Amino acid sequence: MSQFVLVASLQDAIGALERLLGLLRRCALPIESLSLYQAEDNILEVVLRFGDLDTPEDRVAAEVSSLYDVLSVRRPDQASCDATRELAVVKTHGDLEPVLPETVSDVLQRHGPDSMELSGTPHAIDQALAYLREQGLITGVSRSGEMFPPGPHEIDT
Amino acid sequence: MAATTGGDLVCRALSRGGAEVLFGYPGGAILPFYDALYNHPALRHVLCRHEQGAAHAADGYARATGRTGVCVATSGPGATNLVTGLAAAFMDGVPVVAITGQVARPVIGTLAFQETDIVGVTIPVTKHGFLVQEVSDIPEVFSEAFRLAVSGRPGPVLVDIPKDVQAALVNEKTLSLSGRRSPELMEPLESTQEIKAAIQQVAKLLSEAERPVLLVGRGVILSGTAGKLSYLAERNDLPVITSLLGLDAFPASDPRALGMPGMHGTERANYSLQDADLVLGLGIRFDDRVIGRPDRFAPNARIVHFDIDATAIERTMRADIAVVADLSESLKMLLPLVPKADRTAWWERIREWNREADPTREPPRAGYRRIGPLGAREAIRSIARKISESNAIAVSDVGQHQMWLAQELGDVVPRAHLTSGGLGAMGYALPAGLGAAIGQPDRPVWVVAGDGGFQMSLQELATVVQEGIPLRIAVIDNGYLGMVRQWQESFYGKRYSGTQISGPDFVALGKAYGIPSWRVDRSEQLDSTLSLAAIEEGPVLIWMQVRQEENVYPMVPSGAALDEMITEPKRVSG
Repeated sequence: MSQFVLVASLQDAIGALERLLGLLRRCALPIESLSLYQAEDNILEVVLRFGDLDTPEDRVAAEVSSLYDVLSVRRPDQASCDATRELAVVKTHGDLEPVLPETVSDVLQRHGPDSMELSGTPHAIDQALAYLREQGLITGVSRSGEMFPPGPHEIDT
Repeated sequence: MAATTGGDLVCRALSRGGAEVLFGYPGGAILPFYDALYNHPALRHVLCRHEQGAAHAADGYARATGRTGVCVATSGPGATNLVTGLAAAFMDGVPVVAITGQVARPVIGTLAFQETDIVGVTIPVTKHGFLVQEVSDIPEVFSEAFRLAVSGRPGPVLVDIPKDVQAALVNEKTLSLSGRRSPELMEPLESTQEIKAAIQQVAKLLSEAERPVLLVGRGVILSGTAGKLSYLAERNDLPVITSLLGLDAFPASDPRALGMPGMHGTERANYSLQDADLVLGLGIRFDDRVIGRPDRFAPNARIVHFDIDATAIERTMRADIAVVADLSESLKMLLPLVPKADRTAWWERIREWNREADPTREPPRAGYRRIGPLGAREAIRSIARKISESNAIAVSDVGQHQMWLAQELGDVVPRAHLTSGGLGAMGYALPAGLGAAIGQPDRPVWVVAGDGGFQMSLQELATVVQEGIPLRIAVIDNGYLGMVRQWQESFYGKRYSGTQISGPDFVALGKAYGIPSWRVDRSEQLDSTLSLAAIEEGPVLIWMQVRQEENVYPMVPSGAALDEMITEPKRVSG
């Protein structure tokens, strides 16, 4: 999984999100995941993880920074990336094994007869889902996209 | 304090933003603004005949003056008609504020009559778009719009105002800032220390280089650094190559001027770039028409990129060193570090490439006049001479004539060569020319257009006449969409598909608008006709019927490297 992640704080104004997404699509940037939440009143936090880029990372950050509605762009460092979390809600067939391997149990928060809730690093979630898919247990998945804890270890562009 | 309307607030905000002229076209959803405008005679309204013309006119005004141009349109079709003009301004970094009327707030999103999401439509071709939702936001939004239009790399900003917001009454005492955060504008990202370090590296590279060149774009004009450029070129004995939009940044007659690079650039400019060991790009975005095939551009050179726009760095071309800053600041830091140099050996090499392919270039021998059917380049050379002699502003449209004018343009001062370089919008010249003439009323303005482009915006002749604008208009008529035909000749086996174009009797057309007009189709008529036109106060129109299948050379085929130029007609394949 790519480690190039940008966290953009965005004024929640008309057209703001369209401008950001339009820019990313126009530049044909491979978005691996995107999550969005309201961080403060009228401020959206957008977390973008990119796949393998042909475009230099600095230029991607500069392009995003250049948008009027973007208040700041942060590029989390490795420690911050390691601290990132993602939630996945998985719908299952219901016949879960009595003992799940660590790849799943490490991120399993709770499960019911036909669903389970996973939380962990995106990489750990990927691994758990891969296992469950291999076993043919999954009937549906919903992922939250990743979220970064704000902190001093984030690097402002 | 008395209540005022949203429309009145817009007028006042325009005046505060420095606007003096608005190029526009009224309609239903912008009526309250136009009603308020009636009470603001200091804001001159120029009624264009199409909203695209209004946008190009605002663009021409901005390029010629350095001030922000303003255009106005109603909702729906009025707004969408602005799009090409905004895109042209966006591509070339021209500050324009576009005001559009919008349907009233309660019916937004209902497919109401003449409703379009113009903020959405223009996202890719504007720096930003505002939809004003409260009348009290108007002062702040316009303040931001004018600030944003000129900040960093300039560009167009759209302000969309619902009709009920324009009509709404507001007590000025209640106006307050909305609490909206004002984002940092696109200031250079690098710190001064980083810039200083980069500039010291640049100075070192310059002192070590044996074959350096300056590659200059419009950023030099925007930053007002033409004087610093001349000093730099003279002090370090540097060849200066100027892009289409940077032609007016450096005098063509200067011995260090190599002309334009790229697809229709001069041999000496293109070969110098390919042979250079150092390319200093100043305010240029290294676009595809300039660099040719990116992986074979200046293969032996270190590339230094000076630009105020961080997003321009490595967009198309690697940069060994990037200096992201206003050129006026970065050149001020660089100049004291630049050593004096004498580059005799490099200049001797450049002189080897100093020939031209155009067979009509040789002047007629003394006592003889050129006779016969008029050639396009020959006609444009004569116009270019008139432009230089009269210190005029040259505005070209898009196509072959644009390249010929760029090749033939003599000495012009900054902001005296206007053309749609990035977007290549046919129909640009006439409305942009009228905008330029309104912005610079004391200078002659020449509009040079092909018969194709001219027919895209000739309705603006009526605007020219109504406003009494003394334009000098040359229509170069070869009966083809010439540049497309040239490509068909060169690369599609002369299959002239869809490129023959007829037109009206342009003299009769000009006269129908009350414009003194002449037709010239022979070389021997050229000088006398231009002299006749020069006597008139203007506007004047000269219809130049030229030989049909003349080509622009040199030419770098699309996707080829700059040193793969076609310089002679006989080398054209197909």
